[in-house]
Amino acid sequence: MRHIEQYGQSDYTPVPGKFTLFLRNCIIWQIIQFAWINLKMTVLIVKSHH
Amino acid sequence: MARLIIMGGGVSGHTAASFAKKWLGNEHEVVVVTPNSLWNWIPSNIFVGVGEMSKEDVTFPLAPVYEKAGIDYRQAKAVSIHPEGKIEDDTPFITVEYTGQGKEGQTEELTYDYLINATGPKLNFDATPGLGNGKGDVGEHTVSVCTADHAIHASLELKAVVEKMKAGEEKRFLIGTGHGMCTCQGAAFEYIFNVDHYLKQEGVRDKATITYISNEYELGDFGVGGMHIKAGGYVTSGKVFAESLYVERGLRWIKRAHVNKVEADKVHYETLDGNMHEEDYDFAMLIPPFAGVGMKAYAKDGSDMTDVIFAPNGMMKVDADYESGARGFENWSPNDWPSTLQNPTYDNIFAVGIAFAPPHFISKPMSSPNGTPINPTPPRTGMPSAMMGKAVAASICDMIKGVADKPIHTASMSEMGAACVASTGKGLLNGTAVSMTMYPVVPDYKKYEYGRDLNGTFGTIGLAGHWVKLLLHYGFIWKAKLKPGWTLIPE
Ligand SMILES: Cc1cc2nc3c(=O)[nH]c(=O)nc-3n(C[C@H](O)[C@H](O)[C@H](O)COP(=O)(O)OP(=O)(O)OC[C@H]3O[C@@H](n4cnc5c(N)ncnc54)[C@H](O)[C@@H]3O)c2cc1C
Repeated sequence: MRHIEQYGQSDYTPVPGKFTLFLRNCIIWQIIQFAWINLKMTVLIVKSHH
Repeated sequence: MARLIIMGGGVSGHTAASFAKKWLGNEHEVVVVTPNSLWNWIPSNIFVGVGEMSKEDVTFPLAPVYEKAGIDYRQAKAVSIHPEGKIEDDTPFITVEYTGQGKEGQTEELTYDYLINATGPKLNFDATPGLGNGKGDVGEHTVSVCTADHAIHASLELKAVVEKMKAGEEKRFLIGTGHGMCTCQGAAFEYIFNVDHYLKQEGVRDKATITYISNEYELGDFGVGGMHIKAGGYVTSGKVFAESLYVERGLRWIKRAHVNKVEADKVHYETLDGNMHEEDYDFAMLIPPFAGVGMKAYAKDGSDMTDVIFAPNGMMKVDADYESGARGFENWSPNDWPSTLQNPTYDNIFAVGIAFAPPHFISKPMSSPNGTPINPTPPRTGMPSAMMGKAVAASICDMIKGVADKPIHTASMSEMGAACVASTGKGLLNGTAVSMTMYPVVPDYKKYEYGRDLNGTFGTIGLAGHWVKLLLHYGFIWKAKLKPGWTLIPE
C-alpha cells in the first residue's frame, strides 16, 4: 500500500477511488465516454470555424 | 495566374496549402517552401520518445503527396522577404536556400502574389546555457521530443537508463520546461505520463523518482491561465485535476521555475520567489522556449526592415492589438487577438500557427524579485494552428478569385477552442488518457463567469481518450496524406 506523504504535495490532492478507477477501464462505460468525447470535440470544432 | 507561396509545411502550412490548391485548382499556383522532406505528425513524437512508435509511424515523404496534389514543392528554407520587390521590379519575392532536391545550398528568388508565413517555432535551446549545443539544437545533457529525430534519441537514452535500473540502480527523471518563458507544457505533461507508464511496463518504476519541473504558476496553467471544469458537482480548477494525475502516479512537481543552467546531471533554477535551487537528474527531457525562425525582411532599396514585419521575438506581426500588452493583465481583452492574421503593413502577407506574434501572454505575466520573467508564453496548439491555416487559405482564395477584396475568414484564438489528449499505452485495451477541451483558448471574463464556456471546457480520464488519440493519429496522417475523404476529417 502506498501511503500519502503528510504535509507533502500528495496530502492536499484528491485521488480517484476504486469505483472511478474501475469506470476508467470499463469497456461499456468507455464506449459511452468515447461517443461523448467525440461529440464534445465536434461541437468545439463547429463553434471554432468562422 | 496568381502565385501563393506558403513558407513552412507543418501543421498550419500544410493545411493552408492543401485547401488552397483544392480551392484554386490549376488556374493558380500554390508553392510550399519547407526544409524537411518528411511531414511529421508532431503530437505522436511523444510515443516515439518512449519507443512505442517508430519515425516511420509519425512521418511520411511530402514530395509524392504534393506532386499528386499539383503543389509546387521546394525543399528549402525561406531566408528573407522582400515585400516591395527590387528597385527595378516591384514584384514581391522571397529568397530561399535549398536543403534538398539535389540543390542543397543553392539560393533562389521566388516571386509571389500572396505569402503565408507558417514557419512554426525556432526551438530556442540555446536560450538556456547547457540546454542547447550552441548551434541551435538540443545539447548533450538532456533530450527533447520536439522533432521525430529528437524523440528517437530520447527513446534510446531512456532505454539505456532503464537497462541500468534493471541491474538494480535507482534513477532520477526530470521532465518539463527548460526555461521560464516556455510554452508547450502539454508535451511535457504527456511525456512524463508516458515515461511513468514505460517504467511500470519494464518493471522498474519502484527504482525511479520522477519529477515535473514547470514555469507554470500552478499545474494545469498550460500557458492559457489554467481553466475550470465541472466535476463531481463542483466547478473546479484545472490545477486540482492536474495535481490529482501527478499524485495518482506518484510524480513530484516543481512549479514557478525558470531553469537557468543545465549541467550533465543537474539543473539550476530560480523560482518566482527569487530563490535559487538545484535539481539532480539521470534522465531529463526539457522543452526549449520558442522564438520565430529568424527570417529577415528587406525594403526595395535593400535596407533591413525586419522590425516592420516581425516582432522582436522573430514572430510575424498580424492584425493583433500590439499596444494592448502595455495596458496590463487586468485590461486585456479577447479583441486584442488577431482574427484575419493579415500583416498590417503588407496586405498580401499573412502568418498562421506559431509563426504569428501574439499580442501578449494569456497567463498573467510574473517576474521574480530578481526581475526574471517566469510564466508560460501562449500556446498555439495543433487544432487552432490548422484552423488558422484553413481560414487564411480561404481568405486568400476569395481575394484571388475576386470574391472579396479583403480577408473575410477569421480564426481568432478568442473564438476558437483547443483539444488536448495526453495518452499512454499501446493497443486498444492497454492504455489510458486525459482528454481535455477548452473553449475559447483566450478566456473572456466578460462573457463567461470562469472565462470559458463550461460546456465546451471539460476534462475526463480513461481508456476512451486513448482511443480518441489513436483515432487522431491515424485520422490526421490520413488527412495530411490527402487520401480519399481528407476534407471530411476536421482540423
Ligand atoms: C512533442 C510535442 C507534442 C505536441 N502535442 C500536441 C497535441 O497533442 N495536440 C496539439 O494540438 N498540439 C500539440 N503540439 C503542438 C503542435 O505540434 C503545434 O501546435 C503545431 O505543430 C504548430 O503548427 P505550425 O504549423 O505553427 O508549426 P510546425 O508544425 O512546427 O510547422 C512549421 C514548419 O515550418 C518549417 N520551417 C521552419 N523554418 C522554416 C523556414 N525558414 N522556411 C520554411 N519553412 C520553415 C518547419 O520545418 C516545419 O515544417 C505538440 C508539440 C510538440 C513539440
